[in-house]
Amino acid sequence: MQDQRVLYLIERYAAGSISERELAEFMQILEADPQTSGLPELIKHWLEERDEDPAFDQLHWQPVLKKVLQADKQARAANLPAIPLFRRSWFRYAAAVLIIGSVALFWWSSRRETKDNDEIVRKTDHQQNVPPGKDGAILTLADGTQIVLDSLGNGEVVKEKGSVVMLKDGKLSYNNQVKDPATIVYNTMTTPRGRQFNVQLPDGTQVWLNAASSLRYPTRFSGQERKVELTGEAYFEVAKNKQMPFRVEVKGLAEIEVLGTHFNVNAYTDEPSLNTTLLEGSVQVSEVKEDQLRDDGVRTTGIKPPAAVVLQPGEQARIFISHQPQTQNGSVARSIQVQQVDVKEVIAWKNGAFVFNDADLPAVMRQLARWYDVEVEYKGEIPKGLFNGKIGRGLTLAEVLEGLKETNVKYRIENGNKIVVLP
Amino acid sequence: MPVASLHNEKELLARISEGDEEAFSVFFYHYTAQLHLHIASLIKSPAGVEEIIQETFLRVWMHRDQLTGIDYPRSWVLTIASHLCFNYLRQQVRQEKHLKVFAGTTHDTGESLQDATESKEIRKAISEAVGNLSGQRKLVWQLYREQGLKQADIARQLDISLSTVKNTIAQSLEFIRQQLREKGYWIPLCLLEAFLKIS
Repeated sequence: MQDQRVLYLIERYAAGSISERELAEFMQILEADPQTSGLPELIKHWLEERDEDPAFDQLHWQPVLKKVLQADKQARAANLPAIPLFRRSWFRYAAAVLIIGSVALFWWSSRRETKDNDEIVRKTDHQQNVPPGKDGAILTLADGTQIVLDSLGNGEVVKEKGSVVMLKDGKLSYNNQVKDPATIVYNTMTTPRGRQFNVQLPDGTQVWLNAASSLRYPTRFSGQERKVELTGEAYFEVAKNKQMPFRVEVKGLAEIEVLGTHFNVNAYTDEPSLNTTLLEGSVQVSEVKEDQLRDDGVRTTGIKPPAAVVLQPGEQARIFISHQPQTQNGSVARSIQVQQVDVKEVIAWKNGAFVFNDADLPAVMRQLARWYDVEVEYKGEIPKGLFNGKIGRGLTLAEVLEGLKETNVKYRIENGNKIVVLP
Repeated sequence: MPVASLHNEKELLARISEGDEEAFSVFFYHYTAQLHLHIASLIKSPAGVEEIIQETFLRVWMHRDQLTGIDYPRSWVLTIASHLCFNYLRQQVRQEKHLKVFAGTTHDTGESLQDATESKEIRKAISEAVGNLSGQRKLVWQLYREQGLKQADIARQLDISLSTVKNTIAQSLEFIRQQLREKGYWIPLCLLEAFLKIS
C-alpha cells in the first residue's frame, strides 16, 4: 500500500502534475532513510516499466560517452590539493542572504522570472566595494571616431558608408542599405576591463565579447570569406553560409575557420594557452607561426605547414602561447593539443558566471582582474592549490573574495582597485 | 513494452570486460536510449540528466573486469541509475528547499548548484588514482588505456603471460575503485555485491 503510494507520487512528480501537498509528501519521503522508504528501489521499479526513447539521438550523448571512456586514460598528478573554492561557501553565503527575511525572498522570486541565471544574488546596499563589470564597449569607426556605447540609449548610433549601426537593449547590430562593394569599412569593438558586449555582425553572426577584448570586422562582408580579428575572449554564434567561410584570426597565433557554428575563443595574451572550444558544428583551428608572416602580414608558403586540427563538439584546441607545450605525463606534445572539456564551463562567462576547474590562484585572479578592473599583487610566494567552483559574475568583488577566505588565502583590498595577496 | 536486454549481451559484456570501447559504446547507447527520457522527467534539468547518465556508466566502466559475473546487467544498470536519481533528488531537497525552486515544474535554466560537478570530481579522482598506480601496473595501464593495445598484444610486448596482464589490469581496477571508495565517490558496494553474488 505504502509502495503504491510512493510509486504514485513518483509518477505524478515525473509527469509534472504533482499537487503542492503531494510534493511536500514526496519531499518528506526523499529525506527519510532510504532503507525504510525503499525509494531507490521504487525509482528503479518505475524506470523498469518505461519504454525507450523512439527518437534517441546518439550524437547528443557522444560527448558523455567520451568523457566516461577518457576518465581512466590520463594519469594525473595528485600532489596539489583540489580546493572547492566557492561551491560550498558560496552556497552558504547565498543561503545567508536569503534567510534575511521574506522581503528578500519575495525580491528573489520576482527577480527569478526575468533573470535567466538564478544563482546570481546581488546585495543592493554595498558601500565601499568594487562593483561587478557590466555591459559596455567602445566602437571605433573606420575614420578613428570613437563612440562609447555604455552611455547611449536605444536607437541609431551612427550611419557610415551605407551601413546603419543600431543599439538595442545593450546589443549592437548592423543594417546594410547600400550594396556597393567599393565601400567596405572596418569597425572595431573594444571592451575595456570590467565591460562585456554583444554585437550582431552584418551577416547575422552573434558575438559576445568578454572583458578586455576587441573584435575588428567589416561593416559588410563580401568576397570569398567573412574575416574578423580577435584579441581577448569571445563567444561566436556564426550564421550559416557555406559559400563564405567565417574566419577568426588571432594575430600571429591562430586562425579558426568555420561554416556556421557555435564556439568560444579565449586568446588573452596573459593566459598560458589560446583555447578554442567548440559547442556545435565543426571548426578548423590552424596555428600561425610568426616566421610564416612576412612583414606585411601576408602568409608565405613555408616548408612546414602550420599545424591544424578539426574539432568535434565538446572539444577544445589549445595552442600554448609560450610555445612550450606541456603535458601531464611529460611526453612530447603536438603544437595544438585537443581535449574534451565541459563546454558549460568555458562559456560560463557569457551566461553570467565564473567557473573554475582546477584553476591555480593566478588563473582565478586573472579572471577577477579583468571583470572587476583591479590589479593583483602577490606579496611573497603565490599560494599553491587548485580551485574549483562556480559563482555569479553579478556579485561585488568583496562578495566573491568572501569565498576565498575559507581557503586560507589571505588578502587585502587597497584603494578599491588592487587585491594584495599575502603569503 | 519496455525493451529488455541486448540480444548478444553476454558476448558484449565479455568484450567490455577486456576494455573494448566499441562494445562499451553499444552498451552505453542501448541503455541511455532506455533511460534518459525518464531520468529527465524526474530530474528536470538537462545538465543533471547528463550527470546521472555519465556517473552511471562511469561506474559500469570502472567495474568492467567484473561484468561477466553479472547475470542481470539491465537490472544492475537500473539500480545504479535509480540510486543516483535518488541521491540527486534528495540533495536537491536539502539544498534548495528554502529557495523554493524544487517544484514539479521544469527548471528552464537547466542548471542547479550541484550540476556538472560530481561527475567531474569522480573523473578527476579516477585519473589521480591512475597516476598513483605503480611499477608494472602503471606500465600495463599505459599500454592498455593510453595506447589502446589489446591484452594479448600487451603480453607479447612485455613478454609476460596473458593471465598476468589480465590480473594486473584487474588489480589496477580494484586499486582505482579502492581509492574512489576512500574518497567517498562510490555507490555503496553492497549494492553491487548483491548482483555479483548471483554468479
